[in-house]
Parts: sequence; structure tokens; C-alpha cells
Amino acid sequence: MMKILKRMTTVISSTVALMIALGFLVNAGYAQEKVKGAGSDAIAQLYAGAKKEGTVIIWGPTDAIIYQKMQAVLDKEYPGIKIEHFESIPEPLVQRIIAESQAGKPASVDIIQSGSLRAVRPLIDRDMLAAYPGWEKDFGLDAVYAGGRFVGAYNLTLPISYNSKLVSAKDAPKSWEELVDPKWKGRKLIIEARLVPFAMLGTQWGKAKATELVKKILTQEPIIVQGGTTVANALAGGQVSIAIGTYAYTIERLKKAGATVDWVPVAPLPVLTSAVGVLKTAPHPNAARFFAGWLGTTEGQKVRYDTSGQANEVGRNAIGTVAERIKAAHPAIILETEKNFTAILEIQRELGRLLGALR
Amino acid sequence: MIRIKDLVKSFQGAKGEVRALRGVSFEVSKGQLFTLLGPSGCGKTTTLRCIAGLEQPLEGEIWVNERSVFSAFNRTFVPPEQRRIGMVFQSYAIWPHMTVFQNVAYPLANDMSRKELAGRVEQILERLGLGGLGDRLAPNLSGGQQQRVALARALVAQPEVLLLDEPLSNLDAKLREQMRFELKALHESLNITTVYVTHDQEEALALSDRIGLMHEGTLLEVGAPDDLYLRPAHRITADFLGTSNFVSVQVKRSGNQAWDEMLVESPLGAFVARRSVEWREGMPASLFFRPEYVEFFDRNNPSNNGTNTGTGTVERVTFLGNSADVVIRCGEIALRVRAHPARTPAAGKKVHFSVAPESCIVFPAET
Amino acid sequence: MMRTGLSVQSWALGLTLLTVSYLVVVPLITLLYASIKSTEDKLPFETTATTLGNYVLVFNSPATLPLLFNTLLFTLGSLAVGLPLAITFAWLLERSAMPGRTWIASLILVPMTIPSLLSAIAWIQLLDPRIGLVNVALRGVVGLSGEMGPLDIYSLGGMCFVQGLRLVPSAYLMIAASFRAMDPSLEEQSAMAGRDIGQTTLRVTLPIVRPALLAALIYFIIVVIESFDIPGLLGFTARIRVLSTAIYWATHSEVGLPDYGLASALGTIVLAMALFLMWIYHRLTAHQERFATITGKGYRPRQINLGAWTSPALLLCGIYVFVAVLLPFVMLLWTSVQPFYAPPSMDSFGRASFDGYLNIWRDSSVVRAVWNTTILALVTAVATITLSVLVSWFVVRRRRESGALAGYLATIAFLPQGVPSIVIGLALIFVYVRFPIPIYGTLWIIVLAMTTRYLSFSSRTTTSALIQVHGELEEASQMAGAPWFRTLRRITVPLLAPAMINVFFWVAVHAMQELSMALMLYNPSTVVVSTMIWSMWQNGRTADAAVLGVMLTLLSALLLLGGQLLSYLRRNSYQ
Repeated sequence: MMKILKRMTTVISSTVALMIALGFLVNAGYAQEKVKGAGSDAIAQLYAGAKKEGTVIIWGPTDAIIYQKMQAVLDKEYPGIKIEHFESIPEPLVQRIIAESQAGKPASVDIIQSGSLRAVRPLIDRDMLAAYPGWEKDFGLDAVYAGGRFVGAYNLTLPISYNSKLVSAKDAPKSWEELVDPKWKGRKLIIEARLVPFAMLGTQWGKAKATELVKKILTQEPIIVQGGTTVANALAGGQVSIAIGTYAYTIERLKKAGATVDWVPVAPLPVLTSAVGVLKTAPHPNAARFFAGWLGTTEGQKVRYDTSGQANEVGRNAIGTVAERIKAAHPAIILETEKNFTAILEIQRELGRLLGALR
Repeated sequence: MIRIKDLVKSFQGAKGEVRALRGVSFEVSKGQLFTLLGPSGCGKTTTLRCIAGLEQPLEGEIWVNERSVFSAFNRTFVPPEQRRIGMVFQSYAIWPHMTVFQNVAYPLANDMSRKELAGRVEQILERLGLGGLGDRLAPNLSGGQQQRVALARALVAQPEVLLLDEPLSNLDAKLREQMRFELKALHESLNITTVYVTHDQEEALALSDRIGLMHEGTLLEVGAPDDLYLRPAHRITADFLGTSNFVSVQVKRSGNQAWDEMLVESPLGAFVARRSVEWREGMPASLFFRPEYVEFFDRNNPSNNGTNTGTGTVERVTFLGNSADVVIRCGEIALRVRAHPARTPAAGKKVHFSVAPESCIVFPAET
Repeated sequence: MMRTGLSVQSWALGLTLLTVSYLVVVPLITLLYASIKSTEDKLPFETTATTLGNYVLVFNSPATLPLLFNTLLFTLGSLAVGLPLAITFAWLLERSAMPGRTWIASLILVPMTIPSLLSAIAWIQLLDPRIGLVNVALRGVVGLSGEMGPLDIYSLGGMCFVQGLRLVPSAYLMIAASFRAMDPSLEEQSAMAGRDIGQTTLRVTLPIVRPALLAALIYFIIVVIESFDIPGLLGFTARIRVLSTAIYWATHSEVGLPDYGLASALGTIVLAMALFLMWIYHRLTAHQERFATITGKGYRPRQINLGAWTSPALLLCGIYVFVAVLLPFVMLLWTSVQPFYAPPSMDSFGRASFDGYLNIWRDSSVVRAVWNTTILALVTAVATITLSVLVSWFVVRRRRESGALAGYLATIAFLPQGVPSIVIGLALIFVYVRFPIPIYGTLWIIVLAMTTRYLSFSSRTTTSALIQVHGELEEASQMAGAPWFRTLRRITVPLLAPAMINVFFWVAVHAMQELSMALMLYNPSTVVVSTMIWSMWQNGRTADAAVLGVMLTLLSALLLLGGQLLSYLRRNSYQ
């Protein structure tokens, strides 16, 4: 009798243990596939609603090719949702959304994507975005901003970049202050005209220190031009040795294509946030929420990353080379969020006056 | 055929308003060639353009062929394209992107058959000596040919009225004279009511049935060429047509109503003359006579019974071929005399001359 | 007018007046309205409070005076480079017997067909002090040591040079038609009076094309003041700020909403300058009859033989074509086959790949964009020309009778050039988002925006050309019984043809490249090539952007060829 009981206990406990283990494994495994995990019921419901709506309209700066690839991937896992995308910089889009809403027209877009969070601040101010706790709760994302109104689609890290043929890794500046070293004088630096990294530094250092730094750097006779791509190409072409204002992922991509460029995870490291938000008056609310959440998952990010090299670069959802390098160097990060973007804006305006702005 | 009544027109000039026409009235009978003659700026072209419809007067009336084409009072204005008037511009205004044929065919209505159209065009081209030039591009013609094309174009649609704005002024002298004859002949054969504008008085005298002399926006006088030349009613007319002599005189006595003879006191002596339209006793006046009516006489063979004589010294003689232009000095006055080439006094010689009273006219002196 | 009933002409005048007024007044009012609004973080129509704060800021700011001073220098410098060149080319290619001029006439226009974004990069690649090819070559040739120079593009001089060269194609198009139409007797008289070519040109030819030259002058003054391409590319580095820099900062703060209030206040200043220039132009071309060169008497511009001057002239053209046309285009081609920019070297040649040209057509959105762009260009060009010819006719022919109306029409047709593009865009968004007419979100709203803007160049050009057509040519048509519209169709338009062809080409090419307004107004279905190039560039797809740029140039070349063919046929038919 005792023998049978013992055997049964062993079997039962091992089965239970096995089940628990399996459960853990399953959970752990599914933790990577964000969507089918915790809260998967809610997600399934959301998907059902999305499928019924059938379409999601997203406006933002993302390249059309990426959406085409996303559609292919989405169709495999979650068929029935058509992505209608409109590629443009966010500024005119934001204005049109506001104008349309003012005119009492129904919204013609579900999701607005920003190049950086500041760009969609006007929509936040006018409370035109819907908060959705499900992204954090059900999708398990941590890159969620503005009280659950935005999902981080990718980050844009603003390091100091250098041309590795002209500058050895040893000589490359390791801090922002090193930029005023006289060895960088004489058209050796190129800076993107909107001075965003410095504006972000100002939120940590204070406006005065940031402005002082910029003024000193300006005496280095840098090349100043607007447009990150122009900056990156100038660096790749050897026109300059150091570039500020171009993104880490761009440098990685150029590196992959064979350019002799690299970047330094200098501290503090400014990181912009490109996020997607759903409008309160979105014509396809379920599809919008679903797709926005999906964009933040590893799966969604991977499509983008494989095409353009952009992804979340900080936080739990981060993937990719830049993310790894940042993790390895772990510098202090200045992340753009709704808490500091007004401050960034103000400092940016102040810095703009150094370059000709009147206000 | 054409009736103009009290036309008034102003323009905005560089220094304010310019009154181009100050009440112009005249009539042109059917088939007549009426010339508006005068110096630049007198308003003759403006009048012509008002008849054409290219300008719109402020006041007045214009009737063409018993049809009112303009009336300020009735607020009537018929646009130029509906007036059935042919016009030749001073610049000819030949369309450079068309051939001669296309230029001339343009006014013909679209409801004509191709054959008929071609026929009409060929006909008028032949008539004006342009036969065979139909396919030539308009700018590739000489000045004279272009002028004829302009004429052909104006006539092809058989208009009621023909207007010509200084058509000969851009031609050289020889061509001008030739064209003058041709125009006259053309007018006579077509018998079309024509209004002609020119500043060339010789042209006006040669071509016109009647001349209207214009001066600073008013029509001074209208008359047949010989009337205007021999018996001008205005000093300006006298001065404008042909060459003239003017001598300042004082009116002594005016003849009775039956006969318009006047007696004036001049530096040359007492002269008997016809009076002009206006006269007043004691008024300062101008005595006028033409150079060709001054006759030289021998001291011993007086003519004219001693009236209207004078003496002077020959200052200059210019031989002109069929005549001689002689300038005589009488004290302060210089007179011009048209003398027979064979009977020209030598320079420096003292001469006596006389002028028939019928050839003398007294005008009021210019104020 | 005392007319019995409303004629076709009155209808046409009324319609033209209404259309142009509508097109222009809407953005204009938006501009003035926005300038008195406090628009920090708000759109102009969101706030109700009016304020003069924007103007106060502009007038009080210590930065303003140096700004205006630099703007003056930059404008004068650029015009000093560009206009004489354009006039010289116009004369050489239209009036002289220089060999090869038909080819050169086409080549001169090529720089205009390259989107400004891409040509800007090309210039840097050529003239950067360190790696710019021209500088590298010069250093080698002259034997300079050091790694920089000799030419520094990041200077006021450099800016004036590049901007000046930029102006040449447009200025040439505006002026050339006027040179073509010359009454030869005027120049012949001068020659008979014993003057040589130089004196004749200076004393006879140039004064006669004075209206065209003046029109070009006032137009390009506003263009340079308003444009930001060169100040944005070179000005920051050269530390030269101009008015458009300030406008740029107000509109591109990249923080969501442009500061329309400030931008509009600055734009109003530009507008005031435009009005002033227009007034001067009006005064100077008052007695326009004396500028009529196409009379009935002749229209055969004699091609002047240059004799000993032929070689220098060819040399000048050759240098220009090489520097301003060939080099930038080659750089564009180079960029289109490189994954990222690198100066030519063994490595970079190895990386060259023409794949972009093959792949580009696989993208269906590219095909659609090309289609949209073609339609956009053609429709805008036709609309602009039609309005422009009508405006010119009323401005030139009705000036005497309805002076005020003519002046008004000429001015409002000119003003849009002075209004910043995004203001036009915003104005149209604002109006048409409410309007019952469903053009919002379609290609037609972009057509509207572009027509408004291009009316400026167009009307200046056609007006100058019409001044040269003697009024009697049209009057003769009237006397021949043709009503107004037939005269316009059979006499005026054929005589204006050279100018119209130039305008058509210019508008089409610019419409194909226009970016700022398109960015504000386009939709997924109305994607155009310019926005596509721009977003490819932003996304780092530099090669693809350059490939599209090359395509655009080829498309424009096709158009140009068509125009030249037309010109050539006409030229043979009546010269």
C-alpha cells in the first residue's frame, strides 16, 4: 500500500513539477513572442475587433518599403488587416489632423507616428490621443509614454560619430566637452543645424552650460547643415572627421555598406523616441490599438530593423546592434519622454537663436 | 455716308489730362475721299480711330451709312469688329506669322466656301499688283508690297468705309508719289467712301475730294483742296498748306458788305486785300499772300495800277528746276517769291514787286 | 464700359480677375491674419487673441538689422552673378550666329531640372574646401599644399556664386523670348549710323528689352530673398543669416507646430518689398508703346555674326555648361550609383552599382508617383499659362482705360512669390478642409497651390512678351471683323508662342520638383516624385533618391525636347 502511494506521489509531483517547469518554459518562450503571452486573451479580442474593421491607417515618416514588408509578416500571423500608410514628416500631418478636427471633419487617420516625441506634442496638448493601458498590460511593452498614449516604435540615438579612416578609435572624442579641443578646429566637425543633442544635454546640465558648450563648439568652424542624411554622408565621404546630429543606426547602416564610420556611446547619451499614438477619433480603433501594440513588439520591430536598422535601442524591448552596444557601454541615457520634451523644445529654441532664429 | 458730330475725347498724359478732341464735326458723302490734315498731335488719328471704333469718345455721335455706331447720349457703341470698316494702319500691321494669302483672307467670313474665298483673295491680290505672292511669308516683302497687302486686307471684305492712317509716310519719296497715284486710281475705280489721315499737305491736296484741317483737337475748316489753298479762312490753314508770306499790318478800313475788300497799312506801304473770316477795325493783323502770286515788275512798266507794291533787295536765290525760290528783304521783313526760272533777278539787286489784291488775305494777328 | 450687353471679353476679364484674386487673396489674407496672431504652440486659426507681438519682436530684435543687411548683400551679389550671365546667354543664343546655340540653349536649362535638394549636395561635393572635387583638382593643378581650398564655398562669395548660377536658367527663360522678337530695322538703323555691335546692343537692343529685364530683376530679387536652399546649405556654416533663415527657424522648429505668426510677420515684410518693387516696375514701364518691337513691318531678327568674338563666346558657354551643368549632373549620377557618398576612388568605383535603376520600377508607388507628377506638371502648366496670358492681356492692353484694375491684376499676380510656401499650404488646408468643393486631399489642391505660386514667374514673362507685340496687330484683326477671342487665338497667342513655350517648360519642371507645398498637401494616393525623393533621402536611401532625381531630369529633358521642337517648327514657319 505504501509503495503505491509513494509511486503515485512521485508521479503526481513529477507531473506537477513537469507542468510547472513546462509552464515556466512556455511562459519564458512566449515572453519573446510578445503578443501571445500574458493577456493573450485581451489581445485575441483586440485582434478579432481589428479583423472586423479590416484596415489601419497610419501616417508617419516610415518608409513605404517597411510597411510593405510588415504587411507580409502580419498577414502570416494576423491576416485580415490591411495597412494603409502615408509617408510624410509628422509636422504637416499634425497640422492637418488639427485642422481637420477643428473643421469638424471625421479623422482620416488612425495612428500618427512621430519622428521624435516632440513632433506630436501638439496632439498631446490638445488631448487628441487615446490612452490604452493594454499596451503595457497585455502586450507587455515598457516603451510606453504619455500615460499610455504612445508606444515606442524605435529610438534615434544621437551619439558622436567619427570617420574611422581619418580618426582612430583612440582619438575619437569620448565626451561632449572634448569637442572643443583645438584639434577639431577648421571644418573638421559637422553638426546638424537643429542642435538637438545639445538641447537634450541641456535638460540635464541646465540651459546655460549647454549654450556655453554650443557657443564654444561654434568657434571651431564646424560645418553646419540641416538634415541628418547630409550629415551622415558628409562623414562617410570624408568631408569631415566628426559628426554630431546623425543617428547611431544610420552610422551602423553605413558601416555595413562599407563606409569607414563609427560612433561613440558618449555619456550622457541623448536618445530620441519615435512613437506611435492612436487618435481618439480613429475610424478603426481596434485595428489601431492592435497594430500600434504590434509595432512595439519584437516581431514588429524586427521587420523594421531588418530593413532600415531602426529599432528600440533602450529599455526592455530593445533589439539590434545599437541596443547591444549601448547595453555594453551603459552610459547615462537622456531619453526623450513627455516629461522632458517641453524643456528640450525650449532649449532648442534658445540654441536656434545662435544660428539665426528670431524667437 | 459718315456723319461726325461734336466728338470730345481726352487722354491721360504724362502731365495730366490732354484734350485730344474738342468737339469735332464733319460729314463725308458717299464715295468721297475726305482727308484729315494737320500736324502731329492735332487729333486727326484720334478722330480716325474713333470712326473705326478703336477709341471711344466722351461725347458726340458717329453715324456710318445711316447707322449710329456711337452715341454718348444713347449709350450706343458698336465694337470695331462689327462696323464693317476696312482700315490700313500706319505700321501696316501685317501679321508676321502668316502668309500674304492668310493675311488677306482673314477678314472673309467663315461661311464662304474655300474656292470662293481663294477666288476673292486672288482677285484683290491681282488688282493690287500682288499676284503670285500669296504664299510668301508676310515679313519677306518689301515695304511697298507690305503696304499693298494691308490695303488688300482692308478691301477684300468689301467694306462700306475705308480708313487710312498715314499709309504713305513710311515709304521713300519716289514710291510715295507712285502709290499716291495708285491710291487715287483705286479710289476712283472702287468709289468707296474713304477717310484719309496725313500730315503731308501735298499728299492731301493731290488725293482729296475734300480736306478737313485739324489743329489742337479742333476741326478748323473743311473744303475742297483748291478752296483751302487759295482762299483759306484761317491763318493756320494758310500757313499749313503750301508756303506763305505773312506781314504784320494794321487794318485801316474795311470794305462795305457787298465787297470784302480791306485796306491795311503795312511796312511795305498800303495794301488792298480780301478779308478773312474775322476782322475788326484797328485790329493788329497779318497780311497773307503766296510766293507764287508775287510778281516782279520793271520800274518803268508798272502793273497793278500801283496798288500793293513794294520794294526790296534780293537776298538769296535758289534754283529749283521748274521754278526759283527768291528771298527778298524789305527792311525787317523777308518775303519769299516763287519766280519763273528764266526771269529771276540776281542777288543783291533792288527789285519792285506787286501782288494782286485777290491773292491777298488779311488774318487776325496771332495772340 | 459702355457696351451693349456683356461681351466675351468682359466675361473673360471678370473670370480672370475673380480667379486670380481668389487664388492669391486666400493665402495673402492667411499671411496677414496669421502675422497678428500669437502662435507659439498654436495654429493661427486656433487662437482668437490678436497681437502685434510678432512685428514688435521683428522690429526690436537686435538680430534683425544685420539680417536685413546680409539679405541685401546676398541678393545683390547673387543677382550680380546670375543676371548678367543670363542676359549674355539670352543675347548670344537668340541674337547671335554663334554655332551650336540650339544645343547650348537646351543645356543651359538642365540645372533647373535637378531637384534642389540633390543639386545642393552636388555643389558641396564639388566645392567643399577639403574634399570638393573642384578644389582637389585645383590644388593638384596649381600645386597647392595643405588640405583645404583654394575655393571656399562657405562664404558670402560662395553663396552668391552658387545662388547666382542657380538663377541663370530661370532668368534666361524669362528674358530670352524678348530678345527673339526684334524689329531688325531698329538695329539696322543703329548700324547704319556707324555704331558697332557693342554700342548697338547697349544703346538699342537692351533698352528695348528693358521691360523684360526689369521684370526679371524684380522677380528674382524676391526669389532670392525668399529662397532658403542656399542659405540653408551654406549659410549656417558661413555664419551668414538672411531673412529666409529667420523664416526657416520659425517654420521648421521641428517641434510639431511652426510659429506661423512670426513666419507670417517676416513674410509680410517680404510682401511689402514685393509691392514696392512692383510699384517701381509699373512706373518704369508706363509708356509701354515704345517697347513694342513686333510690329507689322518685320519680325526677322537678324542673327549677328560675332566674328572674332565667336571663340570667347563659345568659351564662356563652354565653361558655364561644364561648371554649372555637367559637373552637378555627373555628381548626381555618381550619387545614384553609390550606397553612400564617397569621392571617386578605386574603392568607390568598386562599390558602384546600377541596381537602383532596375529596382526602382518594381516599386509600384514609384510608378504611381511618376504618373501623378506628370499629370500635376502638365495641368499646372496649362492652368498657369492660361491665367497668365489672360492676365497679361488685360494688364498690357487695358492699361490705358482701366489703369487701376490693370495695376491691381499685375500686382496680385506677382505677389505670391513673396508668400512662404508653407503659408500657401496652410491657407489651402484651412480653406478646403471646410469647403464643399472636394479637392482637399486630391491632386487638385496641389495644382491650386502651385498655380498660385507659379503665376508670378509666368505673368512676368508673358507680360514682358506681350508688351513687345504692337497693339495695332490686334486692332487690325478687330477691324477685319474678328471678335475678341478670335483675335486672341489667331493673332496674340501665336505671337506670344515663344514666351508661352518657355513658361510651360518652366512651370512643368518646377511643378515636378516642388517640395514644401507638396509635403503639406499630399496624400498617399497623390504621392509625387518630389516627396518621394525627399523621403528617400531622409530615410538614408541616398542612391534611390538620386536615381529618381536622374529620372526627373530625363523627364524634364523630354519635355524640353518637345518644347524645342515646337519652337523650331514655329521658327521655320515665320522667319
